Amino acid sequence: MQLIDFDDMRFRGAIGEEVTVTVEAENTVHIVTFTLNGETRPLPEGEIIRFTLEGDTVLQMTFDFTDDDGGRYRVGLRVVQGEPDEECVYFVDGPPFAIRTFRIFVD
Amino acid sequence: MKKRFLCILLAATILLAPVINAQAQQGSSNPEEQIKQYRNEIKALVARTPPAEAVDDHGRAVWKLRWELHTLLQQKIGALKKDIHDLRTSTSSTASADYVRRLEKILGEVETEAGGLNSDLTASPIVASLPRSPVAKPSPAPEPEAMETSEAINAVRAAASNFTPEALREAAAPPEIAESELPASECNDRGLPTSTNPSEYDRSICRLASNVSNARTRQEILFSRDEANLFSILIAKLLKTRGGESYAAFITEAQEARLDQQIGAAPTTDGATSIVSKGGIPYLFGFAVENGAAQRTEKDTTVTFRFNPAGVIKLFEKKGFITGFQETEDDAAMKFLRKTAIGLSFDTSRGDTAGVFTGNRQQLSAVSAQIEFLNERDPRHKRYEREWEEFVANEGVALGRRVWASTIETFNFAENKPGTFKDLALQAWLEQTNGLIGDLDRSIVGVERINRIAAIIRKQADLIPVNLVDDETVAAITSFAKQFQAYTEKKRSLLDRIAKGKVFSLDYLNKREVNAPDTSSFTFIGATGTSGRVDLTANGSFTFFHQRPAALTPAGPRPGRFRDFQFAGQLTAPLRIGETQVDFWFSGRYERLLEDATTFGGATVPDTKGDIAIGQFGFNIPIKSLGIKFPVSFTVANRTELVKEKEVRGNFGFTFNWDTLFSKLKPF
Repeated sequence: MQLIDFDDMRFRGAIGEEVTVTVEAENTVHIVTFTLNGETRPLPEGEIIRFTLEGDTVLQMTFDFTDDDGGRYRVGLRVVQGEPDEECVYFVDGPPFAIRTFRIFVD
Repeated sequence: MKKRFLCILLAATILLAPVINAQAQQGSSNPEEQIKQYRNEIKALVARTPPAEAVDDHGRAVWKLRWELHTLLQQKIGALKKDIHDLRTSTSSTASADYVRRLEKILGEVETEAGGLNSDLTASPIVASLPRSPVAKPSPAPEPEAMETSEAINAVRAAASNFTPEALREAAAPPEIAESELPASECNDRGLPTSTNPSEYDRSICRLASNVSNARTRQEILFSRDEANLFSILIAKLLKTRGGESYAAFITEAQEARLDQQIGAAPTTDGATSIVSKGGIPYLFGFAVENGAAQRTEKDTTVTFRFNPAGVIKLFEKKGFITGFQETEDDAAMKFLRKTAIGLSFDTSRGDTAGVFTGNRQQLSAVSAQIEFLNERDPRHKRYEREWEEFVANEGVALGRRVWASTIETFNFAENKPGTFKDLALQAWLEQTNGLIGDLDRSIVGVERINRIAAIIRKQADLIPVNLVDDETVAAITSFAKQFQAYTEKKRSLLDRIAKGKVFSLDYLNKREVNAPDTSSFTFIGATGTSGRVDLTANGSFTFFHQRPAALTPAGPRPGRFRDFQFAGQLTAPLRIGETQVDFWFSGRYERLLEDATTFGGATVPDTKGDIAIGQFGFNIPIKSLGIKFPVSFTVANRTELVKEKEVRGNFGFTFNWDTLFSKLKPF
């Protein structure tokens, strides 16, 4: 994959390319769900989201927090060319409840 | 007569358009039928020449219908492209190939129609006739990769940028409805409100401002990153005037404070209003000034500083609030220090300038330390793991589904560009807001920038053009609000159960007397919760002298090392009175004085050893969003330490959490 716009979380990939997404919680209970191809699932702590690009793909994730003093999630997308360790890293800080929508466009 | 009839017809069409549209959607969810309906309505309107006084209304109605049709056609184009792609890669028969060719022909026709509509939309007299906004700034230029034509988004941007600020302001709710009743909270450098009990709305404003401020390249509000915060703002402002006031209140209501944090002075220091120590440690700094005395007859004023050593170490290293907290996660020593709290109490009646708090050694009246051995009130505790997993699997997934549905209903995001609101007025509002953020001086950085951005967003939130937002968007936001409220209530219920977990800690208190011997006290504190967030706390303590006091008379016996032992218990219960949560407490304490008591002057008062029993009833009156509470208590005692007479007394004071002020003032 290639990064199109970091802040807008847009990427470009190729049909058949595999994408992995890892999430690590800091100072919060791990409360994460994701919606891929319209299907919503929980993402338990330590599990990885893994999928193969078959067309334009939208990955929407929700994050919640349990400590009013602040918490953080580290979200890593691989494989992104040009990023350190080929991983594009986002930090999702909260509270409040957060939604992130990653869009991957295929050529 | 004919003109008058046309005027009435147009007005009725415009007024009823959302109703007709909603009913049409309820009556049929088939997009093909909706497309046909919009085509027919456009034909019907275009065929009628409007009277001069209704030209603008006519143009708006036609434009709106064309836009709805264009949106549906774009969706159809996407579905056709997907089918063609899928069939091409998965089929090989002649029959399938014929069908794919047919789909391609339909695709071409739909694209032609959508292209024509796009030209009509961008060239519409209603769009062209609107004066360009003198304030609105153009959106940042798209990056080279994102330059491909996007008809839908171009059309939205073209239309949205022509809403004048005046037009949007006219469509906003009146200030007395739109503006918040609560004082606006400042934000700290971590994007959190500095007020102690912030609302979801306060949190969203600060988080949104922080997200924008910390962006790598695009310092603007983006649907992909900021959707949850935009939803919160829309719930607070849009639903307040469009039928969802209870949801708006849910978002704007300040959060309640935890019951288990000890902010005031420990009970054995002079001037404390509570007679029982509680478990739980505030993260960095607790500060309280309390008037009155629960135990002694002397009146005085005690200022207590209560802080966390791990945070202070990091503070001295000038690492800042958040960095310090994060670094403690991986360090065993710092983990231990995180579970400790140290308190310093100053008696302002002491020293050269009595009555004025100087914080010097003369006024230092007590030093305390607290160590937590067990805290089952941490939501991350292993024992709650399964409950959280079930919560995410049920409530989290239900909310995630609703988020996805509301996203599709509210935003356009299929194109390789920043997403836009489907609602034109909201998109115009968003672009104006981003324009104002873009105007902000780039030299302003850090927490000041976050607060400047937050101020812009807060002001703009009051100007959301609620009267122009279409019913579909209102319905999507309402559905999200409903699901989010259900989710939050389940989460609070789980957190309430966790708040009833056990806490066990040890307190050490070193009292520094003026003339009498200094004392040290060790207090074991156990706490647990019951139903209804009732908090039960029990203490057991003993106190000894650092030096044996002098004998009362030269010939008399010298008092021993141990001064007293005590047992105490407290029940705290939150009660909601109107919109305010008041914490009530009942407590009792038994004390056995093993030696005669001494005065501040160091004189031993004869015949004062013996039993002391104290009962207390009190309550905390909070002030929302300011983190201030007024504790009031009534105490009944069979005697005091110095006087063997029954005593009934009332005490009052105020407490606030110093974390809040520290975060605001922190210069690093």
